[in-house]
Amino acid sequence: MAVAPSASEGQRGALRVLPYGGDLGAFLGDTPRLAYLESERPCQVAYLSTYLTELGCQSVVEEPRYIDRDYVDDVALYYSRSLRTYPNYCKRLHFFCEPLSDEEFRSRICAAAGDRQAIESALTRTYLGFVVVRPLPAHPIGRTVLSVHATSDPEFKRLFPCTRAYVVHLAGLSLEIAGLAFQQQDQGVSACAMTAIWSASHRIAPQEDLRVPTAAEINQSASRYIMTSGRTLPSDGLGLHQVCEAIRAIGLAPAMIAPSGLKNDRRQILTYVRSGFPAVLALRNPGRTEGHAVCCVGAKLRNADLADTLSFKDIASSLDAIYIHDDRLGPYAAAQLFEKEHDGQLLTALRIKWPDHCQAPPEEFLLSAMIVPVPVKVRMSGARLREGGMWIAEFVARSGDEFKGKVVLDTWFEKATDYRTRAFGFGLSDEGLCTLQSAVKLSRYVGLIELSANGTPCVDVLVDVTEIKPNMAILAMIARRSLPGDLVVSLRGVAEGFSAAFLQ
Amino acid sequence: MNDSDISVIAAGDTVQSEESKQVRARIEEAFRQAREAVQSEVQDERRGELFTFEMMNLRLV
Repeated sequence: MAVAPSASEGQRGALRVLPYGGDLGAFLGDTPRLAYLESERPCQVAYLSTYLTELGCQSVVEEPRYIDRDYVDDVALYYSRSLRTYPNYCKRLHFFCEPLSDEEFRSRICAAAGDRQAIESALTRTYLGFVVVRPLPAHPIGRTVLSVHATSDPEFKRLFPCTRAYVVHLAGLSLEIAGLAFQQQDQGVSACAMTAIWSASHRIAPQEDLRVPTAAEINQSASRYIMTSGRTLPSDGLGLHQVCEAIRAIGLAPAMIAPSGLKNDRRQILTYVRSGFPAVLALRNPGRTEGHAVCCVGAKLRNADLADTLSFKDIASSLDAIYIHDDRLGPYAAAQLFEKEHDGQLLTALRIKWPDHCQAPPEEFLLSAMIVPVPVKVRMSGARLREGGMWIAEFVARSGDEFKGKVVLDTWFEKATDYRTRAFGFGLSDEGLCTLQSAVKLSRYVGLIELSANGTPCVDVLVDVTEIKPNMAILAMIARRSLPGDLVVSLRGVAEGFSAAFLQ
Repeated sequence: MNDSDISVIAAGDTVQSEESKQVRARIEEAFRQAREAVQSEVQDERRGELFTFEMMNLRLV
């Protein structure tokens, strides 16, 4: 192994490797303009400290001079015009769940000259993600991508379809991390709604070959045509019309949903999150005129006790909690969904638990609206897709004792190419597989109605989501396993009624 | 739906015999009933398409 050169004192801005002792704040102290952080430590720092400890973080690689696209835009739009001099660079901290030293890390850089891919793979295995530290007092947490906390609980299933793969460049090496970008609002350029839109766009925009906007760009596009509260800089928050306009400006469509009771809201949230479409949730605190926005990025489902809906069960009834990016707190924060009485009505509410050291009681909000940035080709709403799902679930559940009370309905949107790829593993007949892959025409995104029984999928229904109503849009029904003969005949008859293909 | 229905359909979908027409009519009726049964659930869920003035005026800070 080559002898790694040590970092000479003359190498200003060289990477440093440090042990992680459980306090993220310890790495912020020498950031320019953060001198008084200790006395006014933001809650996000405390949250992230605990989160990193729970991820098993052992080492930190510090990039002391990092130019961050989002922060540079903030500087250009806002901070460069302040009397104070704000640096245009940040610090980036990379986290690893293995003990690394300066020497060890340098040795790996040198070893990459021999087998770079092996070194990248080894580092990626222990890589937990990064935090960009901005030189902004009280608002230091910039773009942050961390992996999802992998706890296992036999009673629950946790879903994070709203994460994506990020390629991170460190010391000439390419590392990968799966997560979704989070940042703290700085209250100069961005407020909560902008950071929530920004997080959501990190998932959807690349999938649609669109550029992910910076928070500064979202600020400007949100206020281009509508002003709800006076000035935009410093940011004074957004109204829902502005949220929709900002999403439209990205090149996506804002699917807006009003809350309609816990049962329905669970269904809507799960349909979109399951599709990998993070939802911006508008929340309000009873008695206050101002609301708050968070980005829903994951779901926590109970493994049992699905409630009956007529003759079938609905997977959404098992939605126990959601995971949110809350810019006042941190990424992947758990929020319990429950029903709360307000003004004589039962409304959907969220309970957000703060970390113990924040010394704040759990906070309760009422759900005020859901705004989901979706690809423009997804014209059908989640509710309309579910409408078709309920027809077919009820029809199958009534077909015989084998399915009565056992059919479980799940719905989501999926790229047709992804569905076709998955279909190779369904065990379809040769004829069924070839017809699906080569003869059935699918929209870019399909609405997927999945019916399962006894834990295994039995029927998929593919819906053209460039239409608005499901009765005009059923493209194919696919038997995922051997079904009773009479049910096959019935489904074939229904498929023919919709001019759809029936495959098995 | 019963076994004789299956044999009628299986004998050939292209043959629009009186029997197969009856089978299809039974399937259509069963599907219509299923749709009708879920109608109230569907209507309830569509309330999510109704926005209120209060909701649209909320400012998110």
